[in-house]
Amino acid sequence: MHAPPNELEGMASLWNIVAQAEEAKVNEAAVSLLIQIHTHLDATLLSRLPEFEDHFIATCIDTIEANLKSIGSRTEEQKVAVSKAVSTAEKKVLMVQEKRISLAMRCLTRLIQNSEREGTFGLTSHRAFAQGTDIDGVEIENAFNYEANTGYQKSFKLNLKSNMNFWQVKKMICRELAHKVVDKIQEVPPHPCAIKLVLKRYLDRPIKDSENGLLVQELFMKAGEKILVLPRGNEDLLNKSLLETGSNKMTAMAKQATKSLFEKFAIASAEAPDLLFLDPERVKQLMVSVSA
Amino acid sequence: MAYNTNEDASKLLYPDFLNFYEQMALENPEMVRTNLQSVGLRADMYPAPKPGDHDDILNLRKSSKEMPRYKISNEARSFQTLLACLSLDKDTKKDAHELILQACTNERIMQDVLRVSPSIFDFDTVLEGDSVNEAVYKLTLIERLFYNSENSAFVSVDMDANAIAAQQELVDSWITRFFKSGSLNKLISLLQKVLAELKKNEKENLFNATQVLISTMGLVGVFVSTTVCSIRQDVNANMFSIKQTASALSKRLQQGKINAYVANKYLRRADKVEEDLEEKLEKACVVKSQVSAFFGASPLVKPKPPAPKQQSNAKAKEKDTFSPEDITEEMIFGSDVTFGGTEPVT
Repeated sequence: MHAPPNELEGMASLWNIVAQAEEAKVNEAAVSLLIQIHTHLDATLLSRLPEFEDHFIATCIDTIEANLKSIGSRTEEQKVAVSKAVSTAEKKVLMVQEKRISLAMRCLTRLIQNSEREGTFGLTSHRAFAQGTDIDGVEIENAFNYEANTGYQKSFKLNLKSNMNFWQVKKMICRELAHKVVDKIQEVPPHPCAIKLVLKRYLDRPIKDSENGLLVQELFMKAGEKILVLPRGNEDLLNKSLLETGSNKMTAMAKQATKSLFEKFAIASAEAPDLLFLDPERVKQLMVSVSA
Repeated sequence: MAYNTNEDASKLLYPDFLNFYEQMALENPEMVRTNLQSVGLRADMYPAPKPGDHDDILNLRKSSKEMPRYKISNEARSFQTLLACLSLDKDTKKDAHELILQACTNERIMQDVLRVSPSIFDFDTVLEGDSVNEAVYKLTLIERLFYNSENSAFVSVDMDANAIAAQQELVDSWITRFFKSGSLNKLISLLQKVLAELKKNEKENLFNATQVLISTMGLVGVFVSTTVCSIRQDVNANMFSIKQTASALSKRLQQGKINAYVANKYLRRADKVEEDLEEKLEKACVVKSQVSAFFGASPLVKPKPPAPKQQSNAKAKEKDTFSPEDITEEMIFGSDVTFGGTEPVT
């Protein structure tokens, strides 16, 4: 996004769709779009992300408050009718405000999940405050850095607590991945964003980045569970455009990466040492390297 | 090298190299992404973290206080609004409860509780309006703190052994401070107040009073048993009921196995809980049918398990620790009363 979300035309309509859409799929699509608008920002707006998220939260809370007020001002007759509503059809007609409140709360839940795709800053949910139970012997299969004869462990076991969130589990795994079995040298651990976890019990269901803040118990993990650890590929990330919007020029980050790639293989000219270039042999090396 | 515009066709310079990738970004962006990944650019256009970077380096927010999970629970307006939703219908209440559990623990309430500030028992208006929801949140938090010395909410994977020990000591000392502050008496006062309110049978307060009653009853039970557990680490699971706790404590005191001054203090309080609860329970039984008339079998009280009492006691004996789910009415009050249950009181 190149403009602040609250200044975009049609935002009010989009919020209305979120609050009023009866079809779950429509609502889901609208919420996803809202989240994207608020978080997929142009580089010039990135530093204002917390401000836009404040606005997102405030809009949801405004919606909830407005509907709470409407519920509070119901007549006695309406209250009785609502309390007697049993069927879904009756509730749909009589409890419109309650439905809108629930939808606004789901928007907030989605915002929380989306914000933790790249880490939780050590925050845990209030639910994690309950006493955790031991989940011992969770088996980790290392497909991240294990290769025969490299010394890295092929598999290892972790003892978890049911009230740990998945970001904490990723950090634990990263520390273990840095250990070598042969010489016990502790290397710099890989970053938790570099690993992808797959829960084996759930038919190889990958744990999404938006689930970083979920607790082990919320993923229904049991003792003896298997987790496969893979190196993260590009396919797991939300693709962002390589080019500036409305132009054929690369974004600053892509340009910088392209320059790094060039400099990695370039050689200096004998006549002008500051001038870097690639000869056909270097281009070939570059292409082999990036393809691998 | 069709993109090479350099006079020397064997030398490709950076502008042409960039031009090639910009053209490819239009025609085959996946190829470009894969190529740039080799120099640490992710598909989402952020640089891959390097060794030594902190764990949250890719998060666009700068600190925990900028995270929505934190803001939702710690900005007064949003937190109070969510608490207010707990008074709505069953489905909306469930969604609100879920969101409150998803958000962080409210810092203001947490600090009040950890400091054992007098305001944690500022329950003068507990039965009015929305404050009941905050009171229940607070009571639940206190209850959970009793179990929390090994909780991962306190102990992070980043902590070393010393930090974990310090954290556990903090929570342990909290239990002592909490007890010394006379908190049990305040809880009993709250219990009395709630029961009095229930007896008045004023429809608008019944629901609130019932909620607080359930939370307080659970907490008083936990309070006494945990305190005793802290005196004797090997305390038997039989002590979980208040009556049993008082009796066991009394026995140990007579045998001179524990410090008389401390034990007497605890014992007096445990006795008082027992007396108060038994007395108030009779009154609670009277209003039980009235509450049931309004709410049916109370949704706030778990139905009694069908297993006979002997069996549940046997189960309790097997355990050295217990969780909030283990605290039942039966455990606190004995087996002859079911508050809010299905049996009518005559």
